Amino acid sequence: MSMWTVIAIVLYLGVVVAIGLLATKRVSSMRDYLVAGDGLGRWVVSFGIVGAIVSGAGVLGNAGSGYGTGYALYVMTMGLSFLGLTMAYFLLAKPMTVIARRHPVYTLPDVLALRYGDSRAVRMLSGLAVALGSLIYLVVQFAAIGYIGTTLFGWSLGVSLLVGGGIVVLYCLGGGILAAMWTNFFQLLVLSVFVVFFAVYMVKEVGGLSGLHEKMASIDPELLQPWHSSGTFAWENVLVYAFFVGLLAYAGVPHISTKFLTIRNLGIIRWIPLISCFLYLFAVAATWIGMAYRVQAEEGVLPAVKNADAVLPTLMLEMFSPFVVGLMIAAVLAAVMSTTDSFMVLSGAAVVRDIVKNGFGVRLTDRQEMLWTRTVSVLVMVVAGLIALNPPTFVLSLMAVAWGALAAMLGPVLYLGVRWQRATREGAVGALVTGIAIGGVLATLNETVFADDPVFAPWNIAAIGVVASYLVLVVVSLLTKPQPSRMFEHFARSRHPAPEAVVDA
Amino acid sequence: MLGLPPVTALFVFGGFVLAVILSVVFGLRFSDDSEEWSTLDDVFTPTGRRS
Repeated sequence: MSMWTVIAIVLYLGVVVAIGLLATKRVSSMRDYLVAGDGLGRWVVSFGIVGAIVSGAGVLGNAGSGYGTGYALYVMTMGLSFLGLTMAYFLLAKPMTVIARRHPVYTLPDVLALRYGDSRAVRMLSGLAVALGSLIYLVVQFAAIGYIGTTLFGWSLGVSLLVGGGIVVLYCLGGGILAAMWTNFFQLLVLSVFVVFFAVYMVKEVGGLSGLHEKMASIDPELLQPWHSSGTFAWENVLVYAFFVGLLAYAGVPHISTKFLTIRNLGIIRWIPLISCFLYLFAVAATWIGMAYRVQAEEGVLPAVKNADAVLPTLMLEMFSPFVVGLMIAAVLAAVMSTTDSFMVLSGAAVVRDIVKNGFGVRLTDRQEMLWTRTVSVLVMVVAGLIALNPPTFVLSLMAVAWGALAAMLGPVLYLGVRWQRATREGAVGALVTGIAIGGVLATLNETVFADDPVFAPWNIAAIGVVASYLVLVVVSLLTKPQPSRMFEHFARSRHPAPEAVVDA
Repeated sequence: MLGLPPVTALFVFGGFVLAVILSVVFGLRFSDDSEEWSTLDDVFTPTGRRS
């Protein structure tokens, strides 16, 4: 690797670590560590949320899917996700901001416990779901880190994971969510500039979007179709996943939903959805890079790649000077790290705060809690890194399953919880158990133990989990007595009488 | 649109455009005066007491 490439990467990583260390100085309590103290403004929140959504696996995988499958994977995972993201803001941003300012809630299980009568079962199950989901997601991110390290740096897998994971620990361990949000701002900015520039350049090379589509159709008309005639991207798989995971439970994933807790005040919310829409578009434009690469590869202008996920790395090395290559590698690393940091913080908090402290009732001071949260975060990173030593092949596939698994586990109890006062803790426990069993355990077994002979199509399993979890929550809630919730206690009683005053069942 | 089949264009461009329109409407109508938010219970208000 050229010295200029190394200099660019080191410069970039130096900025990220410096931001992380700066954030560390502002963290003196769990409130600072997990919800950024008094909160953040609209730009940092928007960049922080979209930066966490757009992972390294996503950027590499989007380019790979554009190259390999055309639009089918885009429609499946992103066709309704813009709407899913805006709907998440519409439904969750205000409630989460209000309760974060009125109550000491720092994690998603804190929110759910507040909503469902301080139920220990709800807290433990949701903590378990966050911990399990974070581990799955971290494994995927480590796989992406390993891929970048081995492909671009020529390192061994072990060294790649050690260096990539070590940098995330270095910049995020001290500063927690504040470091994650600030660095996400910087990293998504770099990533967006890189992807948009690259996408525009590549698409122009093949005659604009119309020219791109015309040439793709001549290669294989199915590349332009929203779904394929059979296989993984058959219409039912695409639509079921897009609708149930991409739209109905999108922000159930904790790395998005907990960031609503960092919004400084209600006035901040107004334009965050609009800003996020454009940021998300910029970041997912890697799909068109992959498509344009495919056209140029078919024309013999660029070399074909054996592994679709290698499109971006190959393109960088083919076309740009060493320093620019360094910046681009850093941008892809940025995408990986901006997701990894969120899950690192979440996993430690889930285990220590939600399961050990508030679940089992182990007494910890604020300082002890912060120390143990950091320690467990590092341990989870180590475990995820060890699992990633045997990495999955088609990166985006596993990421989408991980997203769906988290959405199935936590989406229904959160969405209906804040928007339906009739939901009860028994319903929530049932929904969490269902979501964990289907979206978590079964989805993981499907990808590992039953990988050769899957029980369900992997894409559908998360959607099944979402539907089943919603159903269980509604049915069990309607079968049990209405319960008051501290989440709604500030509502005007004339407009929202307490449930027990309405129904005397 | 731009050489894409209509259904593909609907998902690829339509989803984004609709999200942007909804976000603009949301931004214009959003009220930060109250700390209450609407719930499904507002839509399905109980019509009477059960005994």
